[in-house]
Amino acid sequence: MNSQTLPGHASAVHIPAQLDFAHLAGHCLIAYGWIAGLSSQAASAALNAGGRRFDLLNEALVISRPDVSAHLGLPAGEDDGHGFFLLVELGESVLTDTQLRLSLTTRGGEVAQTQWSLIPGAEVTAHTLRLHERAMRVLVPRLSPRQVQLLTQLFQPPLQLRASDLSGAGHRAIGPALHMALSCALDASLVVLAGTLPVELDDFEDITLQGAAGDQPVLPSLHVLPQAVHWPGPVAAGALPPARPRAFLALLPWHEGYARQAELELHHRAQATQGVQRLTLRQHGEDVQNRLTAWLRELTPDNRIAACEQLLAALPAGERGRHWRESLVLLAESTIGELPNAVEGKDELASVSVFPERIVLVPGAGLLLEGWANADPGLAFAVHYCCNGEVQTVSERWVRRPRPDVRAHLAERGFGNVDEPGFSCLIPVAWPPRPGYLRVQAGKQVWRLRVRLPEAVEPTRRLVRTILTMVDPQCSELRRHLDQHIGPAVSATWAARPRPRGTATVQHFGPPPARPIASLVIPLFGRQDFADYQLALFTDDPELHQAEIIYVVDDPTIIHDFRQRASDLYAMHGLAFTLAYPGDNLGFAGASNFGAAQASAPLLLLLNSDVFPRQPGWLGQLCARYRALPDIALLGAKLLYEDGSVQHAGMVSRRLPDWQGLWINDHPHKGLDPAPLSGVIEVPAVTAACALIDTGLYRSIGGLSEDYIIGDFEDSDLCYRARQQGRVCRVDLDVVLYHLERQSQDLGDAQWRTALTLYNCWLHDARWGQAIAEGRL
Amino acid sequence: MSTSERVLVIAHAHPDHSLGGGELAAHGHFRELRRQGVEALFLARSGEPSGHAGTPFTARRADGSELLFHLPPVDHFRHSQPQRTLVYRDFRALLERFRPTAVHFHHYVHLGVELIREVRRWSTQVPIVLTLHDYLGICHAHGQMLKTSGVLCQRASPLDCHHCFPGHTPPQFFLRELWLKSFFALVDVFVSPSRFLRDRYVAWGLPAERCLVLENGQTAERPAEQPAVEPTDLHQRFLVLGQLSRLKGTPVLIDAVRALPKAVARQVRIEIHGSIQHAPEEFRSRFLADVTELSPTLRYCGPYLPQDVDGIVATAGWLIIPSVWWENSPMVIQEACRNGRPVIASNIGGMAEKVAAGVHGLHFRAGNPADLARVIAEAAADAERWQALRAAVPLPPTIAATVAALRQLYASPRERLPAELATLMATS
Repeated sequence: MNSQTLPGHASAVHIPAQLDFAHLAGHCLIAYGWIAGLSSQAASAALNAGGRRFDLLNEALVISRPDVSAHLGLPAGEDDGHGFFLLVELGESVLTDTQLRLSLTTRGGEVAQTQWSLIPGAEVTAHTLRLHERAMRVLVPRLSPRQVQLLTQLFQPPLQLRASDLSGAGHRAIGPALHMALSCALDASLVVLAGTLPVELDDFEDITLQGAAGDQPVLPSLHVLPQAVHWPGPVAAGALPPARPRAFLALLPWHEGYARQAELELHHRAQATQGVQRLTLRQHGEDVQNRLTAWLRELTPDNRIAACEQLLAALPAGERGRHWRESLVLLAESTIGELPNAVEGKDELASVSVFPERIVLVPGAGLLLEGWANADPGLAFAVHYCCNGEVQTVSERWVRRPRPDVRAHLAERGFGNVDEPGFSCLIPVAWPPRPGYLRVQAGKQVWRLRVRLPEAVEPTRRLVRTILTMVDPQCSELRRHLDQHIGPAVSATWAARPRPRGTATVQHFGPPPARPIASLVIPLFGRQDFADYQLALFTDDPELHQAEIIYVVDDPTIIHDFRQRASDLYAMHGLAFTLAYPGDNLGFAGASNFGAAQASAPLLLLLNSDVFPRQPGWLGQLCARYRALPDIALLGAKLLYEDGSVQHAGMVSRRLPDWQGLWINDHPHKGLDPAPLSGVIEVPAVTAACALIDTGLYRSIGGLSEDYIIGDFEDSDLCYRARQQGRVCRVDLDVVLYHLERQSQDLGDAQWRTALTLYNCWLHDARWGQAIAEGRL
Repeated sequence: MSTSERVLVIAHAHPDHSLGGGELAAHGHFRELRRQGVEALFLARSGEPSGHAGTPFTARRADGSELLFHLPPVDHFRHSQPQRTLVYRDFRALLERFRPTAVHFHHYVHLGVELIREVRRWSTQVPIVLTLHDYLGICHAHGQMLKTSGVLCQRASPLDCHHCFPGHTPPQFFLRELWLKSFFALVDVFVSPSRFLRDRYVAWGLPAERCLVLENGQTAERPAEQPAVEPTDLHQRFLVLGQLSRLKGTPVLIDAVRALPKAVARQVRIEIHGSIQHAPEEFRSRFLADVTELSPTLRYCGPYLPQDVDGIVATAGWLIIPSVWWENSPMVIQEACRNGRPVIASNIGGMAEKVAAGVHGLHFRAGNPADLARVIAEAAADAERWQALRAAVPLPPTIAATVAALRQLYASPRERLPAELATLMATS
């Protein structure tokens, strides 16, 4: 930094100083420089040119120059006010002198001065200003609007100012006024003042409503709406409008006095200025309604909804505010569609990303909302769901989960490594659902996001599938996700499933046995060829001709074909059977219950279509054994895989660590040599793939629970209910059949299958987990 | 035998249309039954549409003794007839009309195993006989027990079969087995032309006491005519008969000829008679190029008619059967025996069983051209040994004897069948 020294006049003082630039352009003199200790040491300071004197302490801005302190080796931060900036209009009087004299008188009485050149010309001025653009921008907020206008035009091209450059620029330009748009009373219960503030709320020292009811402080009840608006008021000639005007809404208590005297005064004090405005408090219902609505409609969507929120919160509860609440809710609802669908804010106040991705309507349970959200860790961050005037805090209930797919996106935006940005939440809402929106709060910032409700509810099975695809078994909060969100949503959906669409039918092929020893109930789903295999493997066993065989076609997609083939099957194999069609796909439990309702034998054999006998005589043995055991509930058989290893020899409960300790059904001996297993053993539960039960008992305990979806866990559920009656479950290990497990249920997609099992497992755990844990089962 | 014997012989095709070993054997039995005065009906499946509205049957002979059964393609995985009315209505009507006292299936392929149960449902009394011409019940790979990788298969299992056919799951293979066995359980007698094949089925689970080894039998023990003058170098003349294919070991033979020492190659003459019509184009062109290369040691003489077999066999001293799969009881071996010719055979399956090594033939390691070359060279070098082996060639079983044995079974009441079978097994 090259600086000159001001030579002392009376004594030999040397005061460092510099004129960074001084230009004459158009009718303006612009000068920028510094004098060491200008703000702390100078009694007076001036620039003299062409016989005119410009007082630096009064006509120029004295500015902080920490760079000068550093240059002079002074301690930083203390008395940095060395700098000055002068921008004046010379009017018609033109300077002819190209010499400037800088003079200073210190508080100690020393006088010093030095000469500098004044450089004329717009082009060279513009060039110099560009070199000092940053310094100039910093000054802008402290300039008068006229000075700002001049400065920007001295730049070529003119300096483009940003909102941040201008913040505070209005300080000197406001004039006295708030701009008032509305003053009214709602149903003699709430006073509403609305308008626009030219400056930040913090700049106001006081706002008071004065009138018949005495003075009411306004500031505590004043809400600034979040989005900047255009300044609707007058702007003085040559001045710039306020940089960040904000709409506001003040909600004050009603006083009876206002009814007698509606003429009120609004007093305000800000930045040492004072103002007063006369207001008429409008009270006529229709007039108020129209004006309030008109004012709200003028607002941006976000401000409009924010204003509605404040109004709804302030309105009296109960019947008195109902009319207003309804119309405000409707207005807010009609605005939701105009809100943005996501926020990705990053400014000096907050860094926030919120993306609601999927909304699923779950009748009877609410909305399932999925997406991802993240905010700077330091910020108070909350996401609310607002609907029908009610607010629920989503961020208190939601379950967070990893989202590797958005991690990179967040990292790009400087969020660092975010573990679980995903969220999933069941939001309970009244049915049918009304439109709602999300309110995102981060620090002082608020955003409102639209939530677009799907137009229709998905059909039950698709909906169950949709909900279940939201489950991530890896989620660290799996249990809470199931307990609070997914579980209730699926349960409500499944419970509300429509009744069968088709007509239930029961047809007999061949004469059924007069007094059957057992009724075999065999659901068919997806594949019908299993019936062909089973009949071929049953028909040469005379005992099977003494049984009532009931095929329950649990699949509308195969019923037509199967019906066509049924008489062929009977004619080919010569084994009579009943074809029962419940009219729809009910799942394993529903189908079995439908079949059981047709059963006429005293014993009921629940049988899968992929279970095949190894040799004749199995049914008779199983029935004889059942009849010999008075306390029996369900009697199972030893089931083998196609490779001859054990598939089933009874079931026990085991906690699954992968699913955060949910109880699952485990099959001991599975995959091992069946030879050592013989005799009749007591077990906690048996599989419904092949289980014999007294028909009366089955019916009295309500059959298989149809709350489990498609098929899983309903067998142990049945066993546990039967055991609550004081009976026991057993497996006759001497009766052997093959079970080609899962061949009868081809659901495709493994992820969906897992999610479905997880749900059924959760439901089973919710019903029996405690009893199992306490050793009662 | 009384004329109240009525035997229904069922084949998967008529030899007029398909000259396979099974078809020929079935038709041979049928003709022999007729020759012996038994009322026999030959029912052969045809894949062509019937042409007669309302019936799947058409007559192949004007006397009504041979019928074609026009059937749609079956499910070739589990050999199931999809058009079930053809079974329980039309086939049942045929049974009721002809009222056979015995039913002999020479196969179920293309027909559907359901026919077996329909016979049993129609009558619990008539014996059901099934001749096993291959390993099809055990093996989905054309019933050859040769893995799709080319490796010889020792034993079927759902998982291994799945490896051969990834499109079918192990449980599907298991179900196939359960399904087929549920029909085989209704069969009274399984006839197997070789012990090897019988043992494979017994290991698979068929009851040993119902599995009889019985050759299909030759129409004559000796050829009608013998050549007047016999060449002196017969022991240096070799013959390969039958279809040419990879499975029949044609490439093994070619490579063996290529591996012969030059001196031997100049001495010996190897003739191939048979059809390459059905072989893939690539195989044919390769084969013809090989034959040209290896001339004059190797000569390809083209296809032949069944009635010419004896004449062709008489021109050579040896028959070579180089198949790389197990075979059952190859007809070529029976034909060699009928003509008094020793056989050089692969040392596996039905071939090893039917050719007693060192007695009336020689073995080489299946699929091994070098070993076959060695055996050919040794055979050509030793005229005396050829004479000895030739002298020991046994007479082939005749069809008359086979049918006589079968008629004992046909005629016996079902409850006495096990005893009858035990006697037959003891004597054979």
